[in-house]
Amino acid sequence: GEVCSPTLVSFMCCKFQRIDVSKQMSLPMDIRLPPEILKKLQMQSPEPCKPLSRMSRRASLSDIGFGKLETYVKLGKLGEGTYATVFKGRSKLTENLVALKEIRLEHEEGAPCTAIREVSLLKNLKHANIVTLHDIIHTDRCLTLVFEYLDSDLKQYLDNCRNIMSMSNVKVFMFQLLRGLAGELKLADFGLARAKSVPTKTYSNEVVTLWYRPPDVLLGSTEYSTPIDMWGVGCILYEMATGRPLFPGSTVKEELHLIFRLMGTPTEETCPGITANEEFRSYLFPQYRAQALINHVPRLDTEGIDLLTTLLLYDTRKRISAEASLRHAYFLSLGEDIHSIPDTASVFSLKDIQLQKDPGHRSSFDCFFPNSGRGKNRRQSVF
Amino acid sequence: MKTYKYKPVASGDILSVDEYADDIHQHLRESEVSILPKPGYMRKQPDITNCMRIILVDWLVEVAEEYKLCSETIYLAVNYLDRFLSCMSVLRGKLQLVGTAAMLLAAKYEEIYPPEVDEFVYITDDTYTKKQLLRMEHLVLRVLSFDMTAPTCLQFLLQYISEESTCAKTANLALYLS
Repeated sequence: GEVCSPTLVSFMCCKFQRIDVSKQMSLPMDIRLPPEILKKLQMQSPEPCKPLSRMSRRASLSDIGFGKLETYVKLGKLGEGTYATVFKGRSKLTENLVALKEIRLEHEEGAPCTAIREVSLLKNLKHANIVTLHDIIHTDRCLTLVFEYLDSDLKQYLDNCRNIMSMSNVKVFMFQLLRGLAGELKLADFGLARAKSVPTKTYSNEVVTLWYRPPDVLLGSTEYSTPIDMWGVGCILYEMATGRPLFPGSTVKEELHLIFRLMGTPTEETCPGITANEEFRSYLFPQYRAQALINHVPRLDTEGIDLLTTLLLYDTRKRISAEASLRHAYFLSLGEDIHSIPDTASVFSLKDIQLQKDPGHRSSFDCFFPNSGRGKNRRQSVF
Repeated sequence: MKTYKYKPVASGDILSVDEYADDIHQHLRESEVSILPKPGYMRKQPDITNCMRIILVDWLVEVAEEYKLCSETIYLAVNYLDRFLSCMSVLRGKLQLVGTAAMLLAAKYEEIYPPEVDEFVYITDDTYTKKQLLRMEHLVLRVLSFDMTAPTCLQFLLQYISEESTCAKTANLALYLS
């Protein structure tokens, strides 16, 4: 789907990634240059200390193999969106896996505006919690974006640990997600008012499902503002802690109904201006009272419940911001140092931050109960 | 110590969100450095002159008015044009093509509903073919290496105006000068 809107960019941050030092450099550290190229480069630069001019840098990048389709081996299709197809691939330069996003160029209109915006925005984003754009290949027929390959997204990760994540991992992932958002939101604001006014048709339903949409958007608000993402963050926190989506509605009405049944039907007090909202009034929802979240997320501690509550506030002015939430008491146990790592460094660069083994993880589960038969890839008994 | 007043001057009012104003300004200043055309690039152009560039920019403004494009689009197009001319020698017969491609890209980047490619071909009075325009678009993207996010003087100006709560007269004068 399209990734031109900040909401979508931010949802990409839910993808997990390992420590990636090379990201801080403009070239991957593990790059393997063919010997003849190395030789050529050395011969070309008699003064090694002199910085390359833009032109000659580009020329040598092209010699190395950047910007060329033959540098990447296509391995298999990962998914298909409305304007692009994504393939798993391997870079011949680094032997690393990459994701190749192929955007077909219709000959009628040239480069699609979504692609122009996506590329120019992503090129400027260097953050450990935002997917990195490694290369761009532009030919007459298609535009291919080369991204770092992420081994699984949140859903696959949850599947893989049978929906039981260690609560300490939930905390680390939440922190990473919010870090990504705090950085990204600034970008969305700098760059482009466009994000705000892009017509809703470009929000592909496949990518942002209704499940993570806040009630203000479901009720017709077109104002793009940072609190929109924070509601989704709350939904993800719940999903990681419980293993189930929070509000899995399939229509707008059902989505709102699920939200109101748990969080209470909004009133003028919890959501100023709601009684004047025509759309809300037309639905005629029953008057639900808010339920205690702790009964639904028993594994989350008091601070976690408090964070979840402030993420899921109806009033967008009261909903917690990404920056403020990074300072929430829930994250106190991660230590103070986590606030001073540079944007481009992963939180795992801190010694104390490590992922725990998830209680439901397949491999550990299978070791103990080889015959349990749970899960799709059931292993045959060795006995 | 500044008191920011939220005062939408034009459609680009997202630049004046109080809490981010300082950060945004700093970011714009930093990114501006890497995205400026080279000073005096015109002296290296063998076949075109300053005067031709002025005529082209005037024409681009007319085009923008014709298709009711945002003013930000014009500023962007001129940025693309100048950056392209900083790297490439252009024959005078192709200058309008470069300008049109820059405008097409700026519109795609900035506008909600950019005009179609055919309309851009039409406004050049069919001087160039659609194929030529699309190939030039491709070349501009490559030369600018897809860095289409550029701070423009309009963005700075709107921010200064909203910060200092300038009166409408002064604001309009400044907008005119830029």
